[in-house]
Amino acid sequence: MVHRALFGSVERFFGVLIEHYAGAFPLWLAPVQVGLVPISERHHAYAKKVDQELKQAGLRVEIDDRNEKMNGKIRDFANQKTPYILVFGDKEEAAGSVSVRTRGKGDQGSMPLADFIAKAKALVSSQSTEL
Amino acid sequence: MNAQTIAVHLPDGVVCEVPSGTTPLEIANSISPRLAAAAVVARLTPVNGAATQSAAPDSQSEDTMYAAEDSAAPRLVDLGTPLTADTRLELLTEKDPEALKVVRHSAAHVLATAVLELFPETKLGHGPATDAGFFYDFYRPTPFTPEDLITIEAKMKEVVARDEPFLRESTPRDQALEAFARDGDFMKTHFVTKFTEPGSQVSFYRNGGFVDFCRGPHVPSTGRVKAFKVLSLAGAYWLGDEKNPQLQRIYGTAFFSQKALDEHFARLEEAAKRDHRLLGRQLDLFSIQELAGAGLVFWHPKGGIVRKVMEDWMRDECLRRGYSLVFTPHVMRRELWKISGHEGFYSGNMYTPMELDDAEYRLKPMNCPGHILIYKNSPKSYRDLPVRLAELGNVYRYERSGTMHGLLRVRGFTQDDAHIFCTPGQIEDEVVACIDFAEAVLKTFGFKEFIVELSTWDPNDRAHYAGSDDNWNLAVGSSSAPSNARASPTKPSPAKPPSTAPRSTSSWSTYLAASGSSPPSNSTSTFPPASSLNTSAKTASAINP
Repeated sequence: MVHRALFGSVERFFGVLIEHYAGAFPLWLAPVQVGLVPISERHHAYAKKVDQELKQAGLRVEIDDRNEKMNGKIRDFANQKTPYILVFGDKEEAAGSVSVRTRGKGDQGSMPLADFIAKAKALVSSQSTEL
Repeated sequence: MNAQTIAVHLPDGVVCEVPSGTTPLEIANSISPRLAAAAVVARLTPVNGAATQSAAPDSQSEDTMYAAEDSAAPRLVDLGTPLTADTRLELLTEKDPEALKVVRHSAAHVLATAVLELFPETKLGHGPATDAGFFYDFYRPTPFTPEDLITIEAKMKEVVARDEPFLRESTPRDQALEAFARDGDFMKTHFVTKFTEPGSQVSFYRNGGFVDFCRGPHVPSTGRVKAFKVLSLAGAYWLGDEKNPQLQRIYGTAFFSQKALDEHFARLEEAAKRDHRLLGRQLDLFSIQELAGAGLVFWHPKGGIVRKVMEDWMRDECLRRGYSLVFTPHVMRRELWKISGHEGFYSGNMYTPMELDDAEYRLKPMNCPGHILIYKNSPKSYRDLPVRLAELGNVYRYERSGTMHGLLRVRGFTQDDAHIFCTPGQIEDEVVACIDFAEAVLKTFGFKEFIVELSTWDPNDRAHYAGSDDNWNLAVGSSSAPSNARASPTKPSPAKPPSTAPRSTSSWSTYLAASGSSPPSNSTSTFPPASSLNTSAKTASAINP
């Protein structure tokens, strides 16, 4: 009989992963993969739409629709080491785009929502450690 | 060669013929004064023995600090040691990891020197180098205060500035014991009695007015202890027994340069930031709650989703690789644990039995007996093999209170456990596949560097290894080839007894190593052939993963 345990203990392996990545998990493992930051209350409807599309693509999303300043919301997601933070206001809503902040790389400018989804899905399915 | 001349073999192949009594420092000086200034300590290897690196000893145990050494093994000596026989000689500089241990041990002497100058009534225990620094155990009726540590560190700086040479002296054992008894040095009396032979000479190291029973070696002088820091204070019972007096252990660390010391603290700071217990709270991943019990883990929604991803990957990968998924009960009758042998060999690690109706039950500490019951439940022919049963099984094991550490040392955990029942001829392929799977796990989860170790057995220590010689030879043979075939380096070494099977382990280091925890690992063990497993006697051999 060959006996094997590869994680060893799932708990211990998780502890090791947390320290290995300093909590900044690769996209496929991150608890929240995408944080949504609508700039003001009038962008909440667009936030719902973005949220739905991302979820349909199998991504784990969290909207911050609190009545807080945009920068505070971005900071909170960043403190949670969220891989992608999508910010949007009038301009993005009109263009069907999102402004992308990537963990460790900062503001990447805006891109069409569909392009972001395609990129994120590819990174998840390849279990990439890059963002 | 005449009797007063010895041959000293240097690493570059040169053989120096020098008068007996010449010291390594003199030889270093004859090569170059710069080498002499850079040298910290010398390594001697008997000429007939192989010039191998000595295995790093467990420096925290009193045994390795004081016990007599194997005369054929390489050993470290002071630069001032007179050489009296043919030998290989290596001069270790500050770059050598073994030299770091030496300066840390010297730092422990500097610490003890400072403590005795400030608090002369203190009695000395032992003061070894450790992987992270050094400590010294002291006994005195009044505990040290945090302010005392600051004063002690300042005094240590004075001792270093005095640049006192470390001098080795020897004294007849009886005289040494008499002196220690007279001074009430109960700990030194214990060490001398335990670790030296009656009638022998006992070695001491002196720096200035400070003298300590010590095997050495040391750096040439206190001035070489250039970068150090007193870190903390902890209580420790003499000889680890709570009935004995409580000692005060002062921890410190030392390096050869301020830069190395600063880098050490920067690493510790980074490790502290990465501490999974801290991040687990900050990111709301998991908790361990006093009300529920130590070592029992609560996975919060955010940790839970990561776990789901990990488990999904693992289960899918198991199916893809020809495993079947099973689930087995968390509690099983005591009778089963008796048959499996856990009652006999593993009881101390199990939760105590609980009664229900007319039977006693125990929580499972391992999944093996459950999988074997599934395997045995129907007749198998050779054509059915291999049978690969996998389970993410929750097991519960007793850990001493106070030893739990976040997710790393717990009392309940989930093993991604599998048992492969196969013919002897299939073992090698199965082990190859397991090691391939282990590598896939490590690579997928982002670990790029790891080492593979193969734990085998020690045929000279037969009593501590279960199973027949033939089965051990078969299992070791079928595990060695695939382990060696991997690109990663494989280090074979006897398994820690008691052991039931050879085991291939991949371990990887992360910042955990810096925070003092042991690195995690996964493992593959090969048990005796599956064809004989459906007897209870063989079931008992599946004791240890």
